[in-house]
Amino acid sequence: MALAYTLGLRALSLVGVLFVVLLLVVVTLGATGFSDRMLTAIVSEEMRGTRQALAETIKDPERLEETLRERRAELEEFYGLDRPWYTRLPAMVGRVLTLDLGAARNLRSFDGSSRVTDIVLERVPYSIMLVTTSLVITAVIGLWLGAKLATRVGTRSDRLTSYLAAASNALPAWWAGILLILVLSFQLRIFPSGGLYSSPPPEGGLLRFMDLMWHAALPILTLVLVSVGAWTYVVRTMLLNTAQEFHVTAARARGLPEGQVMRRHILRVAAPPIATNIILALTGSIGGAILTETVFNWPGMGRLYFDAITTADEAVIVALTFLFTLMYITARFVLEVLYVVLDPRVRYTAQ
Amino acid sequence: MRPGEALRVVLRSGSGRLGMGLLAVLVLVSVLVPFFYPLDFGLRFWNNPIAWADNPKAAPPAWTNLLGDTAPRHRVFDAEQPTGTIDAGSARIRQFAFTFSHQTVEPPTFLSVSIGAVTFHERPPILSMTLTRPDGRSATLLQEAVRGLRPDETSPVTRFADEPRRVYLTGDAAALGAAADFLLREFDLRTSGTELQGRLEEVLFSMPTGEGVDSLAPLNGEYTATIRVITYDPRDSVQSVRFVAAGGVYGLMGTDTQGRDLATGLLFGFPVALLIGVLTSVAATILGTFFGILSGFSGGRTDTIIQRVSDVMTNIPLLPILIFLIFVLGQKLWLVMTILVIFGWPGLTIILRSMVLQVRSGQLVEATQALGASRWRIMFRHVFFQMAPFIVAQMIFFTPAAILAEAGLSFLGLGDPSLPTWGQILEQGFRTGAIFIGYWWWILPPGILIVITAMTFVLLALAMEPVLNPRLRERAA
Amino acid sequence: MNGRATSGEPLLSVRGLRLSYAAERGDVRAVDGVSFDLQAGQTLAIVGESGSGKTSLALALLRLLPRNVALLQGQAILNGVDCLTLSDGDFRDRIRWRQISMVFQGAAESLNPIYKVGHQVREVLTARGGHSRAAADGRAKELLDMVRLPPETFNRYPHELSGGMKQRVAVASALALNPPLILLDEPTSALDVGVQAQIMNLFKRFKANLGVASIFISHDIALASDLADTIGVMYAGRIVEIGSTEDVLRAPSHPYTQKLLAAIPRLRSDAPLEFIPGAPPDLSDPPSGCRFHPRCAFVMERCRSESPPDLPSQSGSAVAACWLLDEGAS
Ligand SMILES: Nc1ncnc2c1ncn2[C@@H]1O[C@H](COP(=O)(O)OP(=O)(O)OP(=O)(O)O)[C@@H](O)[C@H]1O
Ligand SMILES: [Mg+2]
Repeated sequence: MALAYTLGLRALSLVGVLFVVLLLVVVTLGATGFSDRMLTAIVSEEMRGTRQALAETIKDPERLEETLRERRAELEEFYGLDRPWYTRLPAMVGRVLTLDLGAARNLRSFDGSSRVTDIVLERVPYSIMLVTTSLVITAVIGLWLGAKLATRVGTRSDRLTSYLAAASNALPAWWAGILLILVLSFQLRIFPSGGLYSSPPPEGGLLRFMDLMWHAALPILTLVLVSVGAWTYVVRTMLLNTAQEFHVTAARARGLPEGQVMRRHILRVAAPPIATNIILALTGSIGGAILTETVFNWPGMGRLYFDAITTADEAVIVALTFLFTLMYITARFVLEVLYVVLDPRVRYTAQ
Repeated sequence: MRPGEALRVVLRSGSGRLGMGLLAVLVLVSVLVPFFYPLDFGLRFWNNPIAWADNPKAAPPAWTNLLGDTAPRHRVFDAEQPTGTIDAGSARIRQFAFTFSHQTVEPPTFLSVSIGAVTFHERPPILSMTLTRPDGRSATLLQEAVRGLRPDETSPVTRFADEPRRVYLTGDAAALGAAADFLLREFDLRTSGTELQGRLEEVLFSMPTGEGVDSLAPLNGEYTATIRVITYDPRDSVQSVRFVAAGGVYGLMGTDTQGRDLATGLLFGFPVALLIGVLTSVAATILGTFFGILSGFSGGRTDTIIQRVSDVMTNIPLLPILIFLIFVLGQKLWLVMTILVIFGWPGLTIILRSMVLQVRSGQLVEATQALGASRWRIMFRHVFFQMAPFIVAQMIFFTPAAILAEAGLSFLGLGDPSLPTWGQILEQGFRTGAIFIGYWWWILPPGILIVITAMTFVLLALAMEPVLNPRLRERAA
Repeated sequence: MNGRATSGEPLLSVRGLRLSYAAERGDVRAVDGVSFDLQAGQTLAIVGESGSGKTSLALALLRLLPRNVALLQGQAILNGVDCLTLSDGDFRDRIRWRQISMVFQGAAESLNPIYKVGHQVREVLTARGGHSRAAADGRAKELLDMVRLPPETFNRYPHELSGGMKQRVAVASALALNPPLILLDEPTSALDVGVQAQIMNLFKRFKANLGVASIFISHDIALASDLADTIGVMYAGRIVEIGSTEDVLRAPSHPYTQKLLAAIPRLRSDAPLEFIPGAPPDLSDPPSGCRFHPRCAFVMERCRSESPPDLPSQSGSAVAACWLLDEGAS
């Protein structure tokens, strides 16, 4: 009960964030005249269809134009183009929420659709695949290495890792990606420099999958490289702090096996603060993913951003901005749940 | 801890000394650059292709020749005074002869002639350019008259004053035709101008070794380009003449595909990067400190509002919003910085508030309050100074974040075109496909500079740690 | 140093125990030649002011040594086995928590914040006591009941318990494996007076019903006397006086003990010893001769140079390290 209450509060506050972002987007679009342009584009798109349909039945060109004009006026009224932008705010929020943003100017989905919804949604799995795979790899390496270093504080490898972790704050993902392309793709020709599949893609499920993995290797390596240092450092430091807590000495005093002390009394206790740090790092990793996809021409949402900027496709940019925020907030909520589950101390404290 | 003492602690560590050294270099370059660059450098030069026309395109740095490559050097000859004058009746021939030694297998990448501000009174002057080779053979690649008086003009007329008359011989049909004639006349090789398209320098700077223009041996030695300006009135004049035998390498950092001197752009990036980092972090820190202390001290409604706002702000993923806002509101550097500040302060505010709450419960403040000191006085005298090292460290830590955010944004193509930044140079390289063709000199330096600049501040933040954490200080001592 | 001469093999016999820590200002001799005997089922109180090395003594017996231990020397024979020469593995398997357990100073922090307290008590039983989980659950509930905690405490997290309750959980956990000896390191000093009395009653009950021997560490000699059969007064890493509670209370021989006792009526707070003039010595550079001499009202010339041996006091069983006793004899 109390648990649900705590989580409900967190969810509410994150929904609030989403709403603030939506409002920011919609007001910016409205006040700068962008929404007018977008809606006009939607109207024009619909008018094209109407014209074709009407041209079949109405043969008299003058009557056709007349009907079309009426139809256009109706549509403009429907979309609120005849009213000032702020009266359309609620409707616009609804549009963004449902990604109902009409047609993209130049971008097309893989099978040629120009609906923004189609274009944007089909990219989501590719982004998720890249981010989650690299996250899992980073987490495994970070936990393993961090736990290892925590047992040898002050050694050379420990200090080296601390410095590397700090240095990785200065290493942007896109730059790491470019270096990897230059070395591993351009010079040594071990990996492809980008894309999803070789062309032509190999036949057969397994071969195709291997080809995909081969193409995913460098982007994943990039994302792992730029975040694993910080992870390791956080894990190490949190474990160290926890290991110095008195209950660990007390557990040892009880003669518990060292493995059990490590697992139950250090790792487990350090999990919540580690989770907090990951939550804080999440914003950065979203940016990293956008830029990494761009560098490797990985057809996810990040690359789509780049393409949408290049072709000035407003609707797609709005959709992506919303979708990224949504995904970020979802991921964040999952982590918050995880945190609450991990730490009994916060379970019942209402914020 | 007083500033001097803090500085000493910072300088005691290796990372602190390295960071300070790098910072000194960054600052020095950034201070010097504005003295040598016009402020509208971005629009007037960097993003103006005409300014870079006479540079080789996508040329690696000149020093790569030391590594065994044999690309010709880039040669630019400028002259205002002729090297010789011949008077023939009323005509006067001004000769501008430029001699250069060609010692590489590769011929120059292009040839161009520019003539600036020709003034004439009656007959329009005639311009020509002849290339004389080490074997004594020569080819006249350019021969044209300056456009005569138009009906609405009155003598004297000055042409090419605003922009010199530039002939890009490499792509010039007449020059190609002249080269074909040259081959026929001297070597009995029958070709045509169209066939020589793109190969002008190749045939001019070599000897045919067999039939046809495909078997050529490089001809090394002294070449002379003679530009002649023939005028028909003693009062006529020509202001400047330029001949370019473009190299395969250029300058310290090479050029991009537009021929822009990357060294220039990279240098200009120094003050811009520093400006972005420092201004943004200082502003964000001031706001963060102000709201943090205010929130911690005031409590009540003010506190709640500030906390709610910063909570929401820190939960917004920055890059997507930044992309969106810059895309919609326009690609302006000040806008990027403003947004970074707006999203940058809440993190500090949240931390400072909790610190203030701790300090406030401390006895010192209570005691001072009991003595009747005013709230704001206490706030600043005691609270602020206690937290000052921490605030400075946060500021240093935020600096690379701002620099990297701008670089990332530029990399996505949302840079401010009026101010070239390292991120933009990198982006243009990336967009042109420089990494896939191996134009490393275009890609590596801007990225390295971004990383080094960010690193400088990370190192300083690292060195600040003992200042913040007295336990570490003892160990460092 | 022999306490009361009692018949039979003592449960624990400590001889010449020394423990120093490496520190920047030199080695800190926290325990500097401590000897005593403890009979099965009896309680020895170790009293002394803060920094006198009481916790260090207990930690040495349980071999819970901080990283920076520079020296550990002497004997601690428990049931005929020298705890200090056993291998680490043997000590952990045979002695730790099975033979000697401990309630830590600040026991609240000795609980893991993540797990329910019942599970923490259970953990010792399954990991060390060879209990099945079900059996361990039953025993853990029994233990919680023994320390007078309501059954639902089993499923509580540490942060949901009061300080006194946490202390009881720590006691339950210390009793889990039925050890013959428990070290109680200031088990009540963080608690208010009422709770303190309840916990003291618990200890008395266990002493009577379970026959557990204990070393009760405290800076409060009055409190200690409530439980202890023997009192050892510790000063600067040494036991300066030890004897039956009665004898020590009735006729203290060492000036330090006298001062401690003189403070009792006024003693109602946690910092009772301030009235003893001067500060406790720096254990990395202790005074020569008798370590108490800089603060002693009866200081003599030889106190400054010669360290006093253990001398029998007038009261019979007690011995004290003070030249005054030698003076009195001659
Ligand atoms: N790990 C350590 N390293 C160095 N010195 C230590 C360490 N632990 C304790 N000391 C020092 O050893 C001396 C004895 O400490 P100890 O904790 O045994 O005293 P105590 O009698 O238990 O005091 P208290 O009543 O305050 O608990 C003190 O001077 C203390 O500063
Ligand atoms: Mg102690």
